[in-house]
Amino acid sequence: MTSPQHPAPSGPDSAGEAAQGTARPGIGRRHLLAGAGIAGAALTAAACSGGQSIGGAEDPPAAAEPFSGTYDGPDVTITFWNGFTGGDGPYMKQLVADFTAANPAITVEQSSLEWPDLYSKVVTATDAGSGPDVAAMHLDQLASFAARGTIVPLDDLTESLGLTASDFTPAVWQGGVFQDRRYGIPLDMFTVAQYWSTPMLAAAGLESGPATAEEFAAATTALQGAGVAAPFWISPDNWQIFVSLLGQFGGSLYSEDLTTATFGDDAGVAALTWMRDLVVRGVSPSDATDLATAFKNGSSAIVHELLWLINDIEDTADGLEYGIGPFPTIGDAPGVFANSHHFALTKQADADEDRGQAARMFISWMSENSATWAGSGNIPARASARQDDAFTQGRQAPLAGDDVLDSFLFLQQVPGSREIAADSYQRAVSRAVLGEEEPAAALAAAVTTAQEMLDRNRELYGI
Amino acid sequence: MSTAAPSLSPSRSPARTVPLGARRRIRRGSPVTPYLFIGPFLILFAVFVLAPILVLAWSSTRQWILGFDSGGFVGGENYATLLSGQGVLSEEFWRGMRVTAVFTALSVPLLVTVPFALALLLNLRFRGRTLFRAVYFAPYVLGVAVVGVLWHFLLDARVGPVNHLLGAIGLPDTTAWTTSLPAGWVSLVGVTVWWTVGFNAVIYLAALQDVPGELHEAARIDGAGAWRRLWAVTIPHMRRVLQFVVVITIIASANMYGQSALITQEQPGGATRTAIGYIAQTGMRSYDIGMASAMSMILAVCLIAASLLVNQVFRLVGKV
Repeated sequence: MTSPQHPAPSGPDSAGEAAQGTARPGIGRRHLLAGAGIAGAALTAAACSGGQSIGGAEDPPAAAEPFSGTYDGPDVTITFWNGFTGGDGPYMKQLVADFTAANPAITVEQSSLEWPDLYSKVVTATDAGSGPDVAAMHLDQLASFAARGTIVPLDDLTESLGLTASDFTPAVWQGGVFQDRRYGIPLDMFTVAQYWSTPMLAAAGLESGPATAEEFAAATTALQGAGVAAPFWISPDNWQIFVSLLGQFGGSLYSEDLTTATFGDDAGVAALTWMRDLVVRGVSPSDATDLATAFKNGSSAIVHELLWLINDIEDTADGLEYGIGPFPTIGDAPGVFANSHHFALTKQADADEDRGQAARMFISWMSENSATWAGSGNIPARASARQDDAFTQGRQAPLAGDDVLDSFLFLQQVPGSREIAADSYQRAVSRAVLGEEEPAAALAAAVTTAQEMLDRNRELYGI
Repeated sequence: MSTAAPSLSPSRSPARTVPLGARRRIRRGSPVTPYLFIGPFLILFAVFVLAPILVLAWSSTRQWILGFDSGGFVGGENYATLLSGQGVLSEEFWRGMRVTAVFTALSVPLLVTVPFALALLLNLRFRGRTLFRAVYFAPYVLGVAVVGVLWHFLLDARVGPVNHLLGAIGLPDTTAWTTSLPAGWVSLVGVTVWWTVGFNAVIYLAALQDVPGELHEAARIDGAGAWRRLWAVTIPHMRRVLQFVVVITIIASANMYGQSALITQEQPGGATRTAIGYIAQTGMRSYDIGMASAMSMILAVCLIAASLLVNQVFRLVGKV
């Protein structure tokens, strides 16, 4: 008995003329495909020819008149993009609301998007005119956008406001300069702090977190003696600690003229070796990833984390007794990774004179009244805001002592620095901490990659 | 004398009283109707699928970096850079392609066979069958971000429940599921199978139900056991569906990005960054549209070749 031919689901080559009988005149399948192809080609040609050119870093249009410090124009709306989507979001919303109350003529449309989204959208959005007039950005990202002309220099604004380095800290004030022009006005700074569990350290006979390499070694030994098997956890993602130690040992990521990658020198190897030794000696487990949770649930006694942990502990582990202090000096001199949120003016703001003035008013007001921002856990950049009670009462106040501020190491203004970082030293740190490669070899490979990317970027950006 | 057979076709007498067109005009609807029906989709397809592909091909021949009036037409230079194997771009891209190939090689066999076994089970008659069908399909409803974030925490070596449960039943509980290899591959493939097994199973189920019951009965009468029936009756009938599932699974696995970005976060040290992951980084973070387009074209060509290969294999196997 033969099985009847069951019509199986037809594949792409079995349907067609056979099922239709004789080929009919009129629109056949081939004509349709040809039509679709022509339509697509026509659309493509339209897209490619003419239209807006994604322009280069041309000289920015000078503001029609210098900013006077106040806004007295007609009612206007400006757009503000930022990446404050976490616990710091409400504080920024409060600041924007305060600004609108003080400046009723200016309406601010605020968008909080995740930082990676903000960075990937801002270039094309401002080119199309539907992006932000003011954007909050990290200090290390300013160069990439300044080189593309997405954000414009603010020297005229700082001149008319009379802002100088003494209003901020020298390091963060200088950090917003790229190719001798200022592209950002700092809002705040944040850094890596040392948090410790007060009861666990007390049980080991310690009063506060260690401040030097010897104290650190002694503290971890004492804690292990008191029953804490892994008192300090280090994770493969801790590249900020690597940058801090690199500076402490006298090195830097790039040379002064930003042409050479120098993090593989002796200082870098010393820094990464210290990190790796923590795992080798058993102070830290080898596969730690979630340091915050480990600290909050008592698995570790000391942790080095950015300042967001303060609000995180308040939200999820309220009642945890912990102390906070500056990052210890493991190397030859104090030094700690720091980054900063800056306000930047985009190129689309000056398309309209009123919007340009209003945007500048927004930036200057926000910078002056940033004391409330201390609630987000960051350190206000403005010196006057750091005198304010709102900050001095905050838990991050110990990190704003003059000596600590002087030790802040901001990332250098290298266009494309984040992409270079991801494929070079961040990967080397990860591989070394996970034990997959010796620190020296990992850094050497990373330096080669970074140098190549740096050279390519410099050629593209024309610097 | 020939008797004219009863004519089935209209008589061809020259003296017509009814025009030719009227006799042939059997109302079957306008010939334009089918094209009107597919028109909306065709427009969407042309604008959102075809045009971008053409733009992609065009931009892959240019040096195009957002924010710069850079280069212009460079012909095959982007491809030459990528295919040379020298330099960071090329090395990282082929690294990503290797990761994609490994993941595809590990996940496709599982994603073709496990859902098939599942479909065979779900095709049996038992109480609660519909519930089980829903349960196995349910994970597919979740988006990749949900699945990625969820499993990233579940598989965490220190604070994740998976290791905790393994320890509770006496198995080793220190495996770093998200930060080491080969445990990372187990995580990625395992999560992907959990997530998409339902989808393939549903397709197989529909095909299984198409297999006529008389054939099974006939085979049973002829003395074939369950295993023999599977190979002699079921699978040959599902050949086309199997081919379809293999091709779409290969393509879906080769396009994997979310799981490696969220679960292993491309650790350790970028060793689980797929080709799409590197294309996303190049295009959306480094804004290098030209190079990213060239990478996408190379990946697309590889996938087309893989699909053709699968079709060839099935054609050959079908002839055996």
